[in-house]
Parts: sequence; structure tokens; C-alpha cells
Amino acid sequence: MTTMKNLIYILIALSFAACDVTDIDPKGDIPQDLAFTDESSVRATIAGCYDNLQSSSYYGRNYLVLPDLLANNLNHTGTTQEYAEFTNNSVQSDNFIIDGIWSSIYDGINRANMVIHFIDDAGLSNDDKNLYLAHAYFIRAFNHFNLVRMFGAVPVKTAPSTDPAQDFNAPRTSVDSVYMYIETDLNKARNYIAEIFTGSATPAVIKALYARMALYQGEWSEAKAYADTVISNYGYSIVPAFADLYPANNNPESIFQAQFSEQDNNILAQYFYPTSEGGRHEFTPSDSILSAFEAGDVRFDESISEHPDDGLYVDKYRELETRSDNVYLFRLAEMYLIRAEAETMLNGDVTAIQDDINTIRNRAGVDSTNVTDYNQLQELILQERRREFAFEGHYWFDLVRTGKAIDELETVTSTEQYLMPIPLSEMQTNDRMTQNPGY
Amino acid sequence: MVKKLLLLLMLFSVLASAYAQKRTITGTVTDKGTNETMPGVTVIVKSNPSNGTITGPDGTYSLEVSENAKFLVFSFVGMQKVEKAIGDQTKIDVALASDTESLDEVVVVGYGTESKRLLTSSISDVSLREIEEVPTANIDEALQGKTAGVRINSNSGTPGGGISVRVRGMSSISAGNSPLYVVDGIPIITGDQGQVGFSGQNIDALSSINPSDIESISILKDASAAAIYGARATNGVVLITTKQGKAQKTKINARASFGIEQMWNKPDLLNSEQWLEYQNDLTGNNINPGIDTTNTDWIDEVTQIAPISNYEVSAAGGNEKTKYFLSGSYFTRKGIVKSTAFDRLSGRLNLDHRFNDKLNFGANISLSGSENNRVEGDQSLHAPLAVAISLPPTYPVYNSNGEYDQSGPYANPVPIIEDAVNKANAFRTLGNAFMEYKIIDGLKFKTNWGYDFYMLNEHSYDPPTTRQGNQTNGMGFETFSRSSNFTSNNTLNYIKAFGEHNINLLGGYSFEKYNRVSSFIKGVEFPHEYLEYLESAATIQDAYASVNETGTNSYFGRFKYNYQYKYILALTGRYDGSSRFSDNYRYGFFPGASVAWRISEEAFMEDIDFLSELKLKGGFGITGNDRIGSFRSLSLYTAANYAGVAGIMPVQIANPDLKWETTYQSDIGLTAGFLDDKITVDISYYLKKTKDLLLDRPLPPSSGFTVLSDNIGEMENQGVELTINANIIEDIWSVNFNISHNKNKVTKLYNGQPIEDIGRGNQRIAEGEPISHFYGYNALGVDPSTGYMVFEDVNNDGQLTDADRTIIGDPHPDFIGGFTNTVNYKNFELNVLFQFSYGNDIFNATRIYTESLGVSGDNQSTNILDRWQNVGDQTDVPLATTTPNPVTKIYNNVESSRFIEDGSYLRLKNLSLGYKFDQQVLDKLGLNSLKVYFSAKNLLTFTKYSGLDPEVNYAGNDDVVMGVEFFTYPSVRTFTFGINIGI
Repeated sequence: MTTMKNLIYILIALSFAACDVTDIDPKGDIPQDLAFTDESSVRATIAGCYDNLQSSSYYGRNYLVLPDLLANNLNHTGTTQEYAEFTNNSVQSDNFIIDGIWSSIYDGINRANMVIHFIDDAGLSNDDKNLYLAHAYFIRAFNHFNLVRMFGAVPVKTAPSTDPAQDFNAPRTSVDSVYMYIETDLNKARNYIAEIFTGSATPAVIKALYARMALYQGEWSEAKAYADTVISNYGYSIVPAFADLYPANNNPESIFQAQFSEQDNNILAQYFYPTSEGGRHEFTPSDSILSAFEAGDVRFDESISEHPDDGLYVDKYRELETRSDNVYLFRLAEMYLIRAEAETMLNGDVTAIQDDINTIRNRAGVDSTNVTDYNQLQELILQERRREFAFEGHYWFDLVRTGKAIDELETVTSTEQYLMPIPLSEMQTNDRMTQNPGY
Repeated sequence: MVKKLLLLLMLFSVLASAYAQKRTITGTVTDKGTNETMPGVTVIVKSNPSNGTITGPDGTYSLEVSENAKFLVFSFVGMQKVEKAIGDQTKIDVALASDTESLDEVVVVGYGTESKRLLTSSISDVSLREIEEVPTANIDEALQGKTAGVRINSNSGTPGGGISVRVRGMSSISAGNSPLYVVDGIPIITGDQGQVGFSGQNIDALSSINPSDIESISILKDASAAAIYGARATNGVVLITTKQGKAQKTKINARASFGIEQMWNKPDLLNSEQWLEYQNDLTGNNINPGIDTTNTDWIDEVTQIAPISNYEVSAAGGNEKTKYFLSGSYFTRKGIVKSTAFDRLSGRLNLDHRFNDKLNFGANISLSGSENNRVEGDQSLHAPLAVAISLPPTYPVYNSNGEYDQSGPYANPVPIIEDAVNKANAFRTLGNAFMEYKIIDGLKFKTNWGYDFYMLNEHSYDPPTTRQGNQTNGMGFETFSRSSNFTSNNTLNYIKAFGEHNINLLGGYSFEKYNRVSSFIKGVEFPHEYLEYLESAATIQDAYASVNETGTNSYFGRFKYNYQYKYILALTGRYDGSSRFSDNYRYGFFPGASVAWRISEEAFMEDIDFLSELKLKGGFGITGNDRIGSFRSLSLYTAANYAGVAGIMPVQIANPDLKWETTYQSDIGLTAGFLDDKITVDISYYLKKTKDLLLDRPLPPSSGFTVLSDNIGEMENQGVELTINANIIEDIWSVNFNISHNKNKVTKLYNGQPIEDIGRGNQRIAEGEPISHFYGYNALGVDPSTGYMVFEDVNNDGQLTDADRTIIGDPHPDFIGGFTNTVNYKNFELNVLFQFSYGNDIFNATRIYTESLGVSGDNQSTNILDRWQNVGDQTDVPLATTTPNPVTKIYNNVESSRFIEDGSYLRLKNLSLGYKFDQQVLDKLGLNSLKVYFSAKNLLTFTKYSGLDPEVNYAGNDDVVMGVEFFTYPSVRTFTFGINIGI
């Protein structure tokens, strides 16, 4: 009987001796202080910065299609009503697509800022540290550029968000200052950048971004110089058959792409393809883009296809099953047209301009041009850019920076429509934010 | 002769006087259930109540009675009164049984039981015996209409689907509104553990538990009852007790029922002729509507009358040492949408063994396996019922090649039903083992260890014959999730009477560990439509696995005191620590206090005979809601892979002060019993104030984050509950009526900013209004001169913009309740349950499409036959057009009050008529009992609502989206016939 009693007492005692069940660590996430411990974790944070480009608000879809919707290359024919605001060029501040783009790009900037701020914790060698920092600076620069060309004077963020008590009321920075910050970042990156995995930036990418930026700012000599460097120095070449460019793949013309794979995919093809094929047919080529192509232009056949029941659809993104379409961010063709445009604006060598234009036109199966008037050349280049980069997220920005949007587009009646509205979510939470005029 | 008579008389009188002497009766009183001796039992002479005594500490009594004394009456609180004829006995032993009638019942409370008369808190309890004949897959369904203050909504008719249970309103926005479920003292895993998205067609883990195994359910509604469950008690606690064995000869019970289910309400859609006519109106064409064209009744193609059946065997018995309950059952039903079904096989063994008079131990173990065949739910473009409503009748099922026709605007539902596979297999074992040790008289130690293990495997396959599968040449999913909850409860309970002071003291320690592992695989490119498993898939498109763990550590105590069973006080407290909380707020304290005054026991009430019970009670307590997600207080990085390169990204900014949501509740109630408890009335009023609601505080997106989780919101619920039980004719007709009213108001949000556009009903959360109210344009009618909808310009600015949106409806009912009639007459038993909801609005979002009148390509409801067609037409249905109003630019089918309807309903929920065979027949058959019955569920529904079912919610058991229909699967009407055999 005493043994039974003892047993009972033991049981009672045991039942009170429990381990601390409340001490549990997350299994699918790591606390912030474990993110910068050694080289491989730093590399992972850089991969995280690039991963942001895949967002469906960014180059996974919305940031890519908006420039074509706004500039009347695409019509909205699907079920998501918010896209219609872009076709009509009357975007509201509460449009969730604009909200997503703004949030997504600033998320990317924050990821880069985290690296820049905390990389010292990892105790890397100087060379490694500079290499990874270069990528972080590039991402920060690229993202600020994408913001400033869409929204105008945007806040420049150079510190990460780590403490909820921080002051998040970032003020707007003037457009010129934003470009200055971008250039500072690119200058820090240019000397140390090197590819660390497929899809990460290279020295050519930095130069290409300089070239595009200079073009946007009207700095023609610089634009010409950088475009020239990219064309001459890095071994890229124009792919002879335009058809070989799509679906986007690793070819000699590609400088920088947003990478996707079957497991890490996008639904671009699904958004463009007709419903009979299982797509959403959310966007269709506009009448305007159709008439923009000359007869025999290969680019028309490769960019647009026709379905017997559902009509025309965009065919540059075609991996309907594997969903693995990559997206071109920079390809060599753009450098030729930048060089041509810069030369034109400098009223320079007409033959050189024509050569650059013809490289692109001939590749597209169209006859060479012999236009000599600078104004006409400028117009021709604009049209070539439209035809070459249709549905690759360029035309709206081209129309805005050349001031032609108000002439070309019926639905644009004021230059106030050149900038997108600051999203309502930022307006409501940021005390220092002011709205763009007209919104 | 006279002398002889006198002698006889004298003899008689001598004899008589011997009998006229006082005699002493002695005996022992025991508890029938536990066999323990019972002290304090009142023993009186029925004809002379002032002659009485009380049993001593050993349960014995000794009473001197006169010759006139014929009956002794034994009584004790919570036990049935027993009358014993004295006759010529001098030793009368009595065993008192628990009183199963009305207020003398014993009710299960947190970590113990309580006599109903001595309750100081609001607890509803339901004995499941009355609803044994109703075929249910899910326990929650069995409670509908039975308990005041608890709103139970079936959401949809999915077999095995999830049901919403709300105790005294909704108290949370992001942390869950479902109560805590406890089975035999062990908190269990509930909710939808599935990973393949099915919209409102949830799987509920509760459907693994066999309702027939349940003896009773107690719902702890107010803080003083629930606070003993601390940080999980805000939404109420549902205590489930399973059937136990009895010290009696083994009773075997076998039950079988079979029936059919049907769709009680079908949508009225256009046929081909009407469709073509409408198309002519819309497009200006002139196709002859009378031409012989395809007229597919898509609803007919996808629905069926479905069988339902249930088979059970159970045995209960035992002796003074060991008691057992053993059961096995098989429940199966098909759904009214073809290819849906739910099957469950379950078994249970409950054992209790009395080792000696100090120690007893036992275990309750159940196993269940179920298979749920589902189809995609409401919101999907590949949901058979949704598509059947939307596809115009002019499309055929098969095209001229004999293949499935896919030329319509939506996917053909027939191949989805015939070929798509969606199977969810669940295996559950729920068991607990306990030991009770009487340390000294009145002091008991109990330890109870439980393990709930729930494993769910979903297997899904869309072959290329379906539109969805066609995109990728076949698409398959395989998911596994394994959830387990391990609990240990340890309590010390001291019950003692000091004279007329009775105390019940409880102290306890409990810990719980929850673990969930899940994996998900998606594959595409299948070589043949019959190969549906991922081993055949050419590409694995998606695969991942994750783990989630939480732990809680708690200390709790309760002090219950009463004086003369008249003045009652209860104090509880629980100190809860959880791994979900931040370091700064790891532990919280949740107290509760309540008092009751049994006025009817007072001396001044003695003469008021018609009032057998009058009790005033009131309480206050603090409870918590800990379902705030794990690790929300930390700064976290998570995986962010870049096309094959491993990456990490910041995903959450820290909030080290994050804690649980807290509710302060006060409660006041009155219980009255009339005419010896023939009629009992319970009325209570409550006020619940919830603070620290977990909400996302918006951050400027330029920070890189859009939200920060913070405890910032506040909400309030107040209400009244009334329950009336009446035995109108003793043993023949009894009635239960309950009605409740709850008013919800959100009192604080971050910066007063409303949360808008939630779900398809555009529901809104705003300060000063009930949660989830409907918000949109106010439709004023159709303009007879144009046929377009007219919407109210609320701010009178001459334009129709977002600023003209206003509150257009409230999904919360003003009143809910139920009315049960039980009639026993001769061998017949009739049970009728009406259940109602009054004042709830429903947003019928299906009509946005079925009355889109040209804006979408869907088939239309026959309502549009009344549409506006000529100038001057007075109607409430606008014209057929593809364009918005040319002046306001607003579409006629925009979200507005046009689609808000009154969802009030009165439902004949259960109707059950049974016949119990006579003892003669039973003797002949050698049976203990034999009953046949016929029952109907959802037999009649009275409602003005035009949609498929007024109990609808397309979002299932969502925390915030409620009262919205969107092509939702309606509840079913069931007819069953059954037979119960007792051996």
C-alpha cells in the first residue's frame, strides 16, 4: 500500500514538472539578427532584393503593363475594373494597382537598405562586402528610378525600417535630387559590381541604366557616351532573328532580365492569352498599335497573334503552361536607339543616326530609312521604340519625357496626367506627403 | 357471547396498542451514482414534516416515527426526492439519484460539475438525448435553436462542412470568433486544416467527432463561467462530455437510419426561349426565340437527390468497480451537388475503473476516419454549382463530336463533376486518460492527460477534360497536414461543509503543446486522364512544407462558497502564459467573480407556493483571446527565392508589446421556477467590452511595410437572453422556448479609420456601427423614363461618387431563437423544433451577375422578365443594357441596396415522430426497447429572402465576412426513417 501511495505522490509531482512549453522559436522565419551572420546569409538577402522584382505589382505584371495601357498600346478587356482607369488615363488615388506598385518598389528599397545598414554585422572581407553592397546600391538606384519616372518627386529612402517608433513620415524629394541620389548610388556600385548569380546586375547593366537615365533627363552627351560603352565593350550583339528573342531567354542581346522559373512563376501569359486557350484575355492590342507597324514588320508577327474566336492577343509572353516567362529589363536594341536619339538631339551625325536606326529596322525586316531632318528622325526613333519595345513597359515613359503624350493620346488633356497619383494609403499615413497636382 | 366479544376487543386493543407505539427507523443513504454515503440528507415523515432528521457523516440516520407515519421522504439538493413506504420495516436504506429534471440537474462547468440550482454564471446546457434522432455530421448543427445567446449558422449545405458558432456576438476582427471546444476536459483541434482552396466549402475538424457519442454539451457564456479558461475564453467555451458507462447490467443499443436529402430551393433561371428573347432585347437582334434550340437545365445536370444513412451500435454497463461505454458507428451521406459526399467511420471506448475507495482511473479513447468528397466552392470559375447558375441554357453538355462542350463563357460543369477528383481524408484519434485520488475526505486530486491527433490528406486532380485542367494538361494537388494537441490538466479539489457553510475550492495547473506540420505539392502535365497521382506528373510546379508550434502554461483556481445553499459566491482566476505572446507580455491574469441569491429559499418566501425557485445572479470577469497568430511581436525575415537562388527578405517589423485581446464582461440574471418547477424562466442581460483588438496599424508604404500589428481596436456587445422551459402537461407535453438579442458596436479603430470593402458584400468596419455592416449606394428604384437605376446622392453634390456610399444593411439579427415542443402520448413521441432569426440582412451578391442584365454574360434569373422595357414602365428591375448610366457613369449592378434583402426566417428545423413499442411486444422479441421513427430536417422554411438559403455565407466560418450569398450551396431538406433497438 505504501508503494501505491508513493507511486501516487510521484505521479502528482511529475504532473507539475513540465518543461517550459511557451519557449518556442519560429520555424519558417528567422529573427532579424540572424539575417546578417555570414557570407551566405548576406548573399541570401541580396537574392531577396532581386526577388522583389518578381512581384506581380512590379515586373511580374503591373509595372510592366501600365506603360502600354496608359499609352494606348493596350486596351483593357478583362474583368479587373481598375485597369480601365489606366486606359482612360484617369487614375484615382485609391486605385489598388497604383498602391501595389508604390508599396512593392519601396519594399525593394527597404530590402536594399537593410543590407547596406547591417552588412557590417557579417564580418565579411572588404572585397566581398563591396561586391554585395554594390548590388544593394544598384537595386536601390533602379527602384528609385522606376518610382521617380512614374510618380515625380518621391521620398528617397536611405535607411531601413526596423523600429515601429521610427518616424516614417518621409518628405518628397525633388526630381533633380532624386536623380542625384540615384547617381550617387550607381557611382558607389560601378566599381565593384560583378554578377553573383544569373539575373544579378553586371557592369553593363549599370552603364545601361546610366544611359537610360541620362536620356530621360535630356543629358544627351552622357546618354550617347554610356550607350556607346554598352554597345562596344561587353560583347553583346543584336540577335539576327527577332523571333529568337521570345520567349525571353539568355541570348547575346539580353543585358538584364527579371528571372522567373516554373516554380517561381508569373501569370503574364495567362493575362494576355485568349479565354479559349485558358487565359484571361485581360488586355488586347489597341487599334493604335496595330496601325503603328509597317507592312512586313516581323515585330508585328512576333508581338501580336490572332485567335479565330477570340481575336487579337499579345504574344510576347507565351509560357502559358510553365508560367516561366522572363521579362526583359534591358536589351541591346535599346542602347542603339538611345545612341540614335541622343545624337539626334545633339543635331549630330545623320549617317550615324540612320545606321543605328537601321540596325533595328533591318533586323525587323523593314527597309532602311533615309530621313535626314532631325525632327523627323526624332519622331521616327519614337515610333521605332514603340514598335521594338511594344508591351515591354516603355512607351508611356517615352511619350511623357518627349512631351508628346498630350498630342498623341486623346484621353490625355493636361500635363498633370503625366504623373500617377500618390496612392491613398501613403497620403493617409504619411503626414509630410502631398499629392500630385490634378489628383 | 358478549364476554367473548369483549375479550376479542381487548385482545385487539392490546395488539393495536402494540402497533400504536413509536418505532425507530434507521438506515443509510447513499448516492446511486457513486455508491458513496451521503451526509446531510433530509429525512422527514411525509405526513408530519416537522418530524425529521439529517443523515450523519457516515450517511446513517435514525428517526422515531409514530404509528401514523406511512411514508418517509428523503431529499437533498441536486438529487431526486425519494419517498419510501414505511410499512413494517425498521431499516430503510435509500440510494438517491441525480435529479434529471430541470433545475436540479448537474451541469458541467470548467474543471468540474455544478448543481444547476447553485450556478452563479450563465451556462447553457443541452442534453443530446432529445436530438439523437436527427442525422447530423457535425455537433454544432445539433445545437441550433436550443441555446439562448448562441448563434449557429450552417453557412452552406456542404456535407461535412464548417458551421459558424458565435456566443454572445462577435468580439474580434482578426483573432477569431469561434469558441473554445473542450471534450472531456481536453481542448481540441477545430477549424479547417485544409490547404487546397475551396472558398466557403470548408472542412471542419469537428466533423470527425461523432455526435452520438456525446452525452451533454455545456456552453460557458459569460466571463465568470469562462474565465477559468483564461486567454481563450472570450468567445465562449463549449464543454462536451461523452457518454460514460453505468454500474448496471450491460445495455446494448443499435440504431439505423436511412433517408434522402434534397435541395429545398432551386434558383429560377431563364430557359432558352426566355434567354433568346432577352438577348434580342439586349443586342437589338431578332433571333426567333421559339426556334428549336438547346435548352440545358444546368442545375439539373449538377444536382441530385442524395441518400443519407447512419448505423450505430453502442454498449454501456459495468459494476461498482468498472464501468464502460463502447460504440461504433458509420455515417454516410452524398451531397445534393453530384460527386460530393461525406463518410465517417468512428469508434469509442470510455472506461472507468475504481481501484479502491480512494483511487479511480480511466480513459476515453476515440478513433475516427472520414472521407470528404468536395467540389470547388462558390467563388471559383470552376465551381459546378456557380457555373450551373451562370451558364446560359443555349449551350449543350456535349458538342456534336460527343466531347464536352467548352464553348460557353464559363467552364462546363459536367466534366468537373464527372472527372475532377477532390478527396479529403481525415484520421483523428482523440483520447484522454485520467486518475482521481481521494487524498483525505473532501480533498481530491485529479490528473487528466489528453492527446488529440488529426491528420488530413487532400488529394485533388483536374483532368484535361475540365477547363482548368486543360490549361496545363492536367493539374493535381496532394497535401498532408498533421496536427496534434497534447494537454495536461492537474487539479486539487476540496469540497467541505462546515455546518451551513459549503465550500468548494479548486486549484490547478495545466499545460498544452500544439504542433502542426503540413506539406503541399502541386504537379502539372499528366500523360493520361486516368493517371491522377503526382507520381505521373511530368512537372512538379510547387512543393513546400512548414511547421507551426504553440505552447501554453497555466495556473488556475476557483473558490466557491455558499451559505445554506442560499447565498452563493464564486471567484475564479487564471494565469495564462502563451508562446504566441511577446516577451514583454508573456503572461496574463484573468479573474472572474459572481454571486447568486436564492431568494426562494428565504423565510419570507416560504408561503409563496407557486414560486418554487427564484434566484438572482450577477457576475463580472475578464477573459482573453489569444488567437493572434504566432511570433507577431518579432522582427522577422522569411524566404524570398529568386528563380532558384535562395533568398530572404524582411517580412515583419517588431512589436514587442503585442498581447492578447481582452474582454471585460458583466452579467446579471434572474432564474425563476413556478409551480414546483413546472415552468422555469431564465432571463439575463450582459455587457461585453473588448479592448486591445488586434488590428493592422497602417504604415506609410514608403517604409517598406504596409502594416504593423498592434492592439488598437475596441468593440462592444450587449444583449438579453430569455429561456422558458415548461412542462405543460406532466410527462406528456413539454416546451422549450429561447430568444436572444445581441447588439454589436465597434467602438474604436486605428485613428477612426474604417476598414472597407471586405469580401464580396463590401462589408465595412467603422466606429459607432456594428461590425461588418453593408456599405454601398442606396438604390432608390428604377427611373421610369430611362430604365436605369437611380441611386441616392447622399451628400447632395450633384454627382455620384464614393462619397455617396452609405450604410445599407446589417447582417446581424435583432433576434434569434428556437421553440421546441416535445409530446409523449401513449407510445408516440413527437419532437418539433422551430428555429428563427429576425432582422438580419443578406447581401445577395449572386444577383449582381444573375440580374446583371447585359453587363456580364451570365444566365439571368426569371426576375428580369419584369425588367423595364418601355418608357413609363414602373418596375424595380432596370433595363437590359451593356453600358453604365450615361449621366452618372455608374452601372446598374454596382454594389448597392438593390441586392440587400431581409434574411429573416422561421424554419421548421426538426420534426421527429417516433413510436415506442409496448412492453408486450418487447417481451416477445426479448428486447429492452424498440422504437421506430420518422424525422425531417429543414422541412419548412418561411422567409422573404429570394436567394437559395437564408442561412447562407459564401465565406464559410470567416471571422468578418458574413451574411453574403455568392452562388452558395444551400442547406438541404432531409427525410429519414430510423429504428432504435435496445437490448
